[in-house]
Amino acid sequence: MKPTIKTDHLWNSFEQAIEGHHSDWETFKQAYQLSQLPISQQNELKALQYLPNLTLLDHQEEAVKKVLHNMHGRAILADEVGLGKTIEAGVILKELMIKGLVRRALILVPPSLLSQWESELNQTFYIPARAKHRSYPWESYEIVIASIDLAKKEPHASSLQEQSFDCVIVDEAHRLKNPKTKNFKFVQQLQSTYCLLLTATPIQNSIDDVYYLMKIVRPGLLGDRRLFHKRVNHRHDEAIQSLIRQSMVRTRKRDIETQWGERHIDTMYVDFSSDEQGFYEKLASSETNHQLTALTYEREFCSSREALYVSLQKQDEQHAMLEEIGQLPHHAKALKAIELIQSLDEPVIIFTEYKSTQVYLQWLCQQNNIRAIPYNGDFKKSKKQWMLQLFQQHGDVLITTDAGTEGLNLQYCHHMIHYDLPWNPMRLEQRIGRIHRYGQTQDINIYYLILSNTIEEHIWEVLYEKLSAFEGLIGEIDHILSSYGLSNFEDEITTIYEESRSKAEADIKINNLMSVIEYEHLEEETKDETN
Amino acid sequence: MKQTDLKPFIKQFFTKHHAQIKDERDDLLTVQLTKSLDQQLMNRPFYWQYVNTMGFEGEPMTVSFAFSDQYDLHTERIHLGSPRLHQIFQIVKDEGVFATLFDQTDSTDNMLDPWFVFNGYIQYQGAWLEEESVSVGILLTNGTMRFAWMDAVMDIPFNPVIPSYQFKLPIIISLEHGLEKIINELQSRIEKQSKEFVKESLTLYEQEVSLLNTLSHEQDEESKQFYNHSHDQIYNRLYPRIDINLINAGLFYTNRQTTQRLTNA
Repeated sequence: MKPTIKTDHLWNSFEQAIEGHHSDWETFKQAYQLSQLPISQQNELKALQYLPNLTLLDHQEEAVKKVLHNMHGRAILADEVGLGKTIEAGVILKELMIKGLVRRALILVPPSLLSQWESELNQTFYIPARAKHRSYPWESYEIVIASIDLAKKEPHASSLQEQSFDCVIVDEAHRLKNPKTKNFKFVQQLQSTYCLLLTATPIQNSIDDVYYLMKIVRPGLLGDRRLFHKRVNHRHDEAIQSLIRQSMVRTRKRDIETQWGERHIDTMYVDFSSDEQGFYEKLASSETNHQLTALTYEREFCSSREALYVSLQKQDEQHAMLEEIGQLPHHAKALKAIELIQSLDEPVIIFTEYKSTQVYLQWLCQQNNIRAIPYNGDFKKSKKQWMLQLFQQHGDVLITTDAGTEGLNLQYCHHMIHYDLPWNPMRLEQRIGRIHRYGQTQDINIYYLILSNTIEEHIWEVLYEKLSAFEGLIGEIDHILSSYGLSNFEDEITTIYEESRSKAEADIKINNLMSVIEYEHLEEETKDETN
Repeated sequence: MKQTDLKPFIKQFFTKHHAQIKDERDDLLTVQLTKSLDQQLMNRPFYWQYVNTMGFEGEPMTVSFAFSDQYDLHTERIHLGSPRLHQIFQIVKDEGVFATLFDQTDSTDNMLDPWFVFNGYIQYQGAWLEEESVSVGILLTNGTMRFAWMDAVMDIPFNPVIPSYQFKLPIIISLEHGLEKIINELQSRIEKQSKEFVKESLTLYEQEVSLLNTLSHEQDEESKQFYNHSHDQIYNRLYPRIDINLINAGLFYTNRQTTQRLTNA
């Protein structure tokens, strides 16, 4: 059979060329040579040449090549959390764009990841992707990022389904596994040549889950529903697995663990000075109408006098305490932090929960001749960049809050101090992920500063000690909770404290919650083993 | 192109476009743009529209390009991935898309032969992706064709002005006709060498369609639409497709010696 060889567009470009301006020999030669850059051999990966600042890990490069060359651009990317699914998707998209095969792409992500995707595609991959703005129609974008919750609503859904895309990428695609949901129906009806579904958990409850994801990626690969169920019932698991592998790439952390630097964790207990301890106990026993308010005050004081001061100031009747705060000496934990920074001769990142603490720490550092750079989510983009620049070139310490650090890459740093503990352990994992990420080969040091005999020590005991026993568990918490219809860990803990009359009651409830998470995690592990 | 080639390339580009180099260090180049470069590169149409309406001169921007990691906020980092570099690449490609040039090497003869030169690439999409670069010249007097034309003439000086005491031989085959002949030749070569590609792609394509057909008994409207979309998607990705694309083209006049060298090899 003869192939169809297209030349129509060739004549158009020729006619345009001949009418245009006539160039000199140097320019003509240069134009010719520059056009050789994207020319590639069979199944050669070109994108990496265009991404000089990106180094792919072996499993990532392998995944990218598999998706492009064996799966022809439609696949489920199912690496475990933290192994760089986004990176893989970015390289695949970049490659298809360099080849001129993708001009229009739609990227559907959870709302919380919108800006992260936007900045990652732009800054890491130089792909001019924009988040959907409500005043512009979908047609006006080439590479558009939107939350799936927005896109599936009318009039957006119909408008998107009428258009055709060269590539559709769906992040957190396990949200599509239920065929009865709007999510699934919407994505199924999108027209797109290439398609990538990203999920760390392609199989959540049963092997059934993957059927519908696969139906979008490679319709018919698993047969129709009846046939699939027959296979599942007859325990033709191996046959199904091998089919799935034709269109899914999955790497586990344990497969590549050796390449990662180790985490050294150092928990440091600090005692309040007697003045502070006295004040703390007064604060803890003071009358508040709410268990949660009291807790909040205690946590704030564990961070800094300033954090508590700012919060008390908002309440009128607390004047007496305000006076007292002014009399207190420097915060014991802050002094400990300074001591720690001085003992390390390398750049350090400090995370705190409170902006007032951030200011206080910065001041205290300066008093001790430590060059401290502040960073937080309120800074404008250019200021953020400038601060990071300063830190990398001249800084000893980067003092930052959690907001605005998502997606930051601070791999050149090997020390991190958790000045306060967040209530959500996932946040802790995200913090550590700033320095312990793809390709970090050096060992890293994590320090926890914990005030003895305070709420902080208590939280440490009930939340963290248990969790840290299970590797990889923290990343899955939200995910496990959502299968119970709970939104996120932090809200859950807050609610528990709000609804409990005493700390003891709250502890029991938290303990129960932890047991559930533990149980689910073990279940998942065994499921993974058998797969 | 390597990272070390970028600075000379950028410098040459701006010098050629009459921009003033204001500062040059090992890994830094500060350039005062011209109005036309500003309009092409800096993406501020509203400013220029305003300036033009008001009848002002307008002030083109000054830009610093950094060629190493050591940069601050006020420079643009240039490396192989940076969008700015590709913007400049595109300007060069657009400017160099057509040329009429004359051989300047010494010649005992005074006649110049007309060549139509086509540079392009063939893109294969199907079972795999592949591109192939082609450069073909056709002598517009007798239709002689020469492949790898550019490689053979890279070192020859060409100029848009015809050398003194030389004259052009008349064109017998038109440029359009020349291109047609080249395309025909390319097509027959592609057909010969792409048999495996076509066969494998068709097999893959048919396999995927038959997988899809296992779902075809679902007959409601939604399923039908899904079937059609899926069918399109499979066709777009896997059905063997071969495109011939233009990089640039030109009318080149070479003297007898050069012509002989080109037609003999």
